[in-house]
Amino acid sequence: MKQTINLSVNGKDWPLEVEPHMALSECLREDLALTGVRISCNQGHCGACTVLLDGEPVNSCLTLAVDAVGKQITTIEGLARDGKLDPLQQAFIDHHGLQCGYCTPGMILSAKALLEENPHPTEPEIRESLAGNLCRCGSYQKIIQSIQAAGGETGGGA
Amino acid sequence: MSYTVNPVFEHYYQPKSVEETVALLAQCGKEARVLAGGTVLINQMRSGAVAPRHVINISRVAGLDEVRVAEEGELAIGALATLAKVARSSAVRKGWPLLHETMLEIGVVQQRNLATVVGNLCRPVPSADTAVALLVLEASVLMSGAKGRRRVTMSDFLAGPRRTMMADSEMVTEVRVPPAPAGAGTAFVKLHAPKVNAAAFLLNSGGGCSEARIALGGVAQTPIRVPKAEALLRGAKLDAQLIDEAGIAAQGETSPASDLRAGAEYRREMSRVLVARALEAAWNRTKRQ
Amino acid sequence: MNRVPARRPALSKRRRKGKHATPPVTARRTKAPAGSDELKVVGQRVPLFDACEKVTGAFKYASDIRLPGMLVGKILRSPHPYARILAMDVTKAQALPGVAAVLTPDDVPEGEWGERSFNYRGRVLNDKPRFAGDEIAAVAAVNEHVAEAALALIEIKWEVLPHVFGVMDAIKPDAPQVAPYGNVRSTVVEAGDLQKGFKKADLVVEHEAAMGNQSHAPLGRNACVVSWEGDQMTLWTGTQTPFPLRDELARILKLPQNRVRVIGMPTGSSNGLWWACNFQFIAAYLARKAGRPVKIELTQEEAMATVKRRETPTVWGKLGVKRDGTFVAMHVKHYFDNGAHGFKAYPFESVSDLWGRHRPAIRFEFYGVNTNTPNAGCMRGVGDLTISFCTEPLIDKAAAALGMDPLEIRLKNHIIAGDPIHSQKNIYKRFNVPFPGERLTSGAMDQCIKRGAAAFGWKDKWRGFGKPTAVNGNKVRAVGMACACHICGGRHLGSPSVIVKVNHDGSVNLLTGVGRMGQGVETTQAQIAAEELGVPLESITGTHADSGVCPWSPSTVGSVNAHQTGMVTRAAARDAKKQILALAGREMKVPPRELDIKDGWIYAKARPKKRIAFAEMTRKVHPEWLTPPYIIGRAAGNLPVGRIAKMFMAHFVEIELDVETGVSKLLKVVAVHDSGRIINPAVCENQVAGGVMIGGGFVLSENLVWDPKTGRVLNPNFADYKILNALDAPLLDISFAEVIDPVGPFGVKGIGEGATCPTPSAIGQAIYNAIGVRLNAPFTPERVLEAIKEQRTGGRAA
Ligand SMILES: Cc1cc2nc3c(=O)[nH]c(=O)nc-3n(C[C@H](O)[C@H](O)[C@H](O)COP(=O)(O)OP(=O)(O)OC[C@H]3O[C@@H](n4cnc5c(N)ncnc54)[C@H](O)[C@@H]3O)c2cc1C
Repeated sequence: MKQTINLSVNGKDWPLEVEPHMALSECLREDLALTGVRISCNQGHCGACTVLLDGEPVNSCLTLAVDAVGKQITTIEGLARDGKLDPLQQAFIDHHGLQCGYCTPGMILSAKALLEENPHPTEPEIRESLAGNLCRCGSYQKIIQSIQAAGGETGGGA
Repeated sequence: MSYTVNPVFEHYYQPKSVEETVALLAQCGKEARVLAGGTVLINQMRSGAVAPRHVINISRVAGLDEVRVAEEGELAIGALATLAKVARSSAVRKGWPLLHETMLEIGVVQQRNLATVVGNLCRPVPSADTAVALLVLEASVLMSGAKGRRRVTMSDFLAGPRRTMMADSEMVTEVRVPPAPAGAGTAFVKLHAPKVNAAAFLLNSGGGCSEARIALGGVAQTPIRVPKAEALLRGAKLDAQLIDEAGIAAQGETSPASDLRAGAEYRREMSRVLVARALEAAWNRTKRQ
Repeated sequence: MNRVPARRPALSKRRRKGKHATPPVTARRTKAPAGSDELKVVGQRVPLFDACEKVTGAFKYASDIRLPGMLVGKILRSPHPYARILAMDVTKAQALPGVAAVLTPDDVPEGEWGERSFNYRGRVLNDKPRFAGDEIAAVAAVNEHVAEAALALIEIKWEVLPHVFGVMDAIKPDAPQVAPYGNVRSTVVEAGDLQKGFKKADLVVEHEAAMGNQSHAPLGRNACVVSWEGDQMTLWTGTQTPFPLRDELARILKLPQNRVRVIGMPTGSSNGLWWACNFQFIAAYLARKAGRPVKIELTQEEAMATVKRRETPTVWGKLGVKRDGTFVAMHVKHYFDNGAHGFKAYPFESVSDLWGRHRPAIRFEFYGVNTNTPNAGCMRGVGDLTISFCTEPLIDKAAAALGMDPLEIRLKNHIIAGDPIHSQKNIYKRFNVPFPGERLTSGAMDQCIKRGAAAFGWKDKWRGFGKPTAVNGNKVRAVGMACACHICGGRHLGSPSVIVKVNHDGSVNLLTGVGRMGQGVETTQAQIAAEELGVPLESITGTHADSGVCPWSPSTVGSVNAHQTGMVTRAAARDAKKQILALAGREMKVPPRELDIKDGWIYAKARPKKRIAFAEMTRKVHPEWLTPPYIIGRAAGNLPVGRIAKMFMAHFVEIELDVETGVSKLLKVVAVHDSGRIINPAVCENQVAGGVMIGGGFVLSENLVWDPKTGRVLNPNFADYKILNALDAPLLDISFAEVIDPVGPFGVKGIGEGATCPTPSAIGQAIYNAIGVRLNAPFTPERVLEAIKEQRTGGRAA
């Protein structure tokens, strides 16, 4: 039976009717058209579906939509503000921290959470924080460089 | 196996208290499952490995997400405390560094933010990391059910392959970990593929080893303690040779199975290597205090 | 200025000031290779065209497509590795509320369809499935739960047949025959007299190597959405081969090619997986039967266990060498598992040519063998990765016996520009075209080896064969190196065609039929077009892979695009340029041949001040047409006959191996590649990085396993099939020996596929140096530890 819930996604509330068994990833993609939430393994191993729940990265494929009520959900679509890219997004563009793009939203969100907590992470800390985000294109080195660059910038400015 | 996009179940409940949960469990019986972080159960309900009719999500039960120092200096880990939360806790870092070390060796960031310690224990895979650490810390599990509350030791709780002694109508509310005495040193070591892990707890009394506890995962049907290896160390002076002997003894106490990731022989041998490494690290840490 | 407000508005806006902002595309120059002084766009590290969409999540894949009234399609798969369907009853499934159509083998043609590069041959639905997982029926329903329930209601009477799993079993004459046309297909590449060659040898060495089963293990899901309007079909799917897919769909559906529109979507990481795949054919028939649009989205398990995997190789080799290290004869037998539906006789390799400097006699035999296991076919680095996993240790054995070091013996024998190429002989045979003889256009293997060795510090780290670099307790460090080469497309793939449309406002549409797998082709082809046309990169927007809009292109396989498609893109841009210069000549009253275009200005070569902005020219009303001119540059064509380009590379690796656990860690990789001129260094570095991770993963941790009894794949997921992650990624030092190829556009060759090839062998050598035993892959901790123990107890000779 469908439940009426309210999800707070990217700073805005959305009234929704969902089946309780609906995964958050599906709900975000199907009901809110946030297809930047990617589904790949759908088992919590690849990190493509990573979203931030109250600022913490989680696998949205392992979370039920009804369980996300009352939490602030951030997807990749919510990172740019007023048409301005987040410094991390810009860094991924500038430093080629991507190839096919499938892992990119999850990578950036994991990195976002890391930099919020630790603005100047070491390389091992970056690697550790990305262990749950697989990139089959193997772009890790440039992804790490992108995060280091953004980390540097965040520290200097904002 | 065919995997569906969404997990499959019929009825969903979000109780607000332990009492309510226990009542629901009594009512739904065998066909119910408690849902905590969901990192195991959601996958199982997708693949059809588990097909409960009733899912009782305990995430709204108040007070279960705590990690605190309770009576008699025991660490209390609530049923909703995530691996990440335990890893972050300053009390844990200070008083139970083994748990801190173990949490960071489990899975990945996103999963640690969802997964609970108790969820790891309630469907204990042979290599369940938290169980291995909690075994050497001689932790206990607190359960609530229709018939009331009870407390059992970690080793009693683990009843068999992927099984606990908990009744269908019960739930775990908390894990209790006794405080570590002065002079204790601990270590957790792990291989990722295949998953084999070892934890050691040693007490250094004036240079001698007054207490030794060793647990292993991934080398038997459940996580196990290795009493013979422990006995070798108790009351002895630890040196490289004794550590090696303890490793060999531990290896003899394992009964691994072969699977996709590695054969039984390899796992057996790794139990020796990992026990030796855990003992060496733990013993060095007893001296650092 | 003629800066066009582009679809990517942000390109300029996005570049915020700050130390990490990207400078304008024309400002930052990578260190220019000789002769590139004139180049403005080619050679620049420009961001990917679609980077902004990718980092904001706006980028769309086939799985993101939703049409009104769309049904969900699900596929029923054989539970048996080999069986015949005696009867199939779908009445219950059909009757289930919410089911729109059930498709059975009776609904699809008797005949087989075939993938253009022989990666698949079979019926759309099989009444005699050839592997556990083979496609036998399909359902279209309102949602996936109903579709799954309907699949479970299909009743089948089976006749289970004897099956065969192993390659060496399947080549036996009495083996069960997997396909009606027999299990074995073979080809030979040869030159010279092998017997005479070996007679000349002072030393003969042999080696046999085997590797595991590598899955493409895609990150990202692929889907196929099909919609019919009358007898016209539109199909959206992630594919590297939009046109060959279109052509084969049209053939088997008996439709004119112009009634089948394939809109090729980005694939996510593909590595050779998403070409023309059977689920796309199923979707086409299912949607037609259901009378509504249908979407089939494959799960991770389906993608890994049923679509395709790398051919499993067993390679035997024998090498004859002179005392001074000169190769005189090389004999290789390469057996590869085609799985159930692969149909390959030849793996499109180049390694048979690689060591031909002194014209050794060569005989390379290839045996493609069908088994009742999941389909096998091309995966990135096809052929050359697996063959060099035998030939590299073969060369090492010779070097060790002669007291040479691995660099010396390779430097002595690798081919150089102008050397003959034999490997394509039998491809010509397949086309019934006489082999014209081919010579290598360019090759800088020497630079790859020498520069790599210098960057790596090889001299300081190399201790001799079978000797570790350093031992620290249970941790052993060792180094290894290996070489390989690979094709950069080839004439046999077909001739690309490209359209360059110049709009009235000076903006440009680039239309090609290439597939998009994240290799950066949208950007690099635009760089070639912008360079040739003399316009800023920002003024170009690409449309690719849409068969209803774009001109025909070969499959995006075999590293074809940079070299082969790029040549045609350049020609199309040149065609557009010619038309514009003709108009400008009239306008400026200068003979067109005295004009040129650069940085968006059309100018007189002799008097650069006499100029007109490109966009001003394109905006001017044409006196006869009474509108601004419409300029369509176009080109179609293939590579020149008789000359062929190959890419070359040398990889140097350092590993750390724990002798107590057998766990190896890849610490560092130095990769030097000769890919001709580098269009975009950042794109190429990423391609090499990806190659190293695929190659490294294959030998360190990846292995698809099936049940020895049922043939069912046991680990079609990332939990049990381990690909390398951020913690495993080695430190990479990637550089390029920028030799300018005489055929490729601006001297460009190719890069993507070959990047995987040397890594496995280099790691193999390092493992050997660490433990003194040459191992087959994968180098699992268990296998490594076993070897160490046998070595210690003297049970095994190195
Ligand atoms: C990517 C990934 C990596 C992982 N890596 C590891 C690893 O390295 N090591 C490891 O050991 N595990 C690992 N796991 C498994 C899993 O994450 C852990 O076991 C986790 O701790 C389970 O907790 P949960 O809260 O998610 O459990 P859930 O999925 O919510 O529940 C698990 C089981 O416990 C029962 N249960 C939960 N809470 C209670 C309760 N309070 N009372 C009664 N029953 C209860 C549920 O009914 C269910 O049967 C991994 C999983 C993923 C997806």
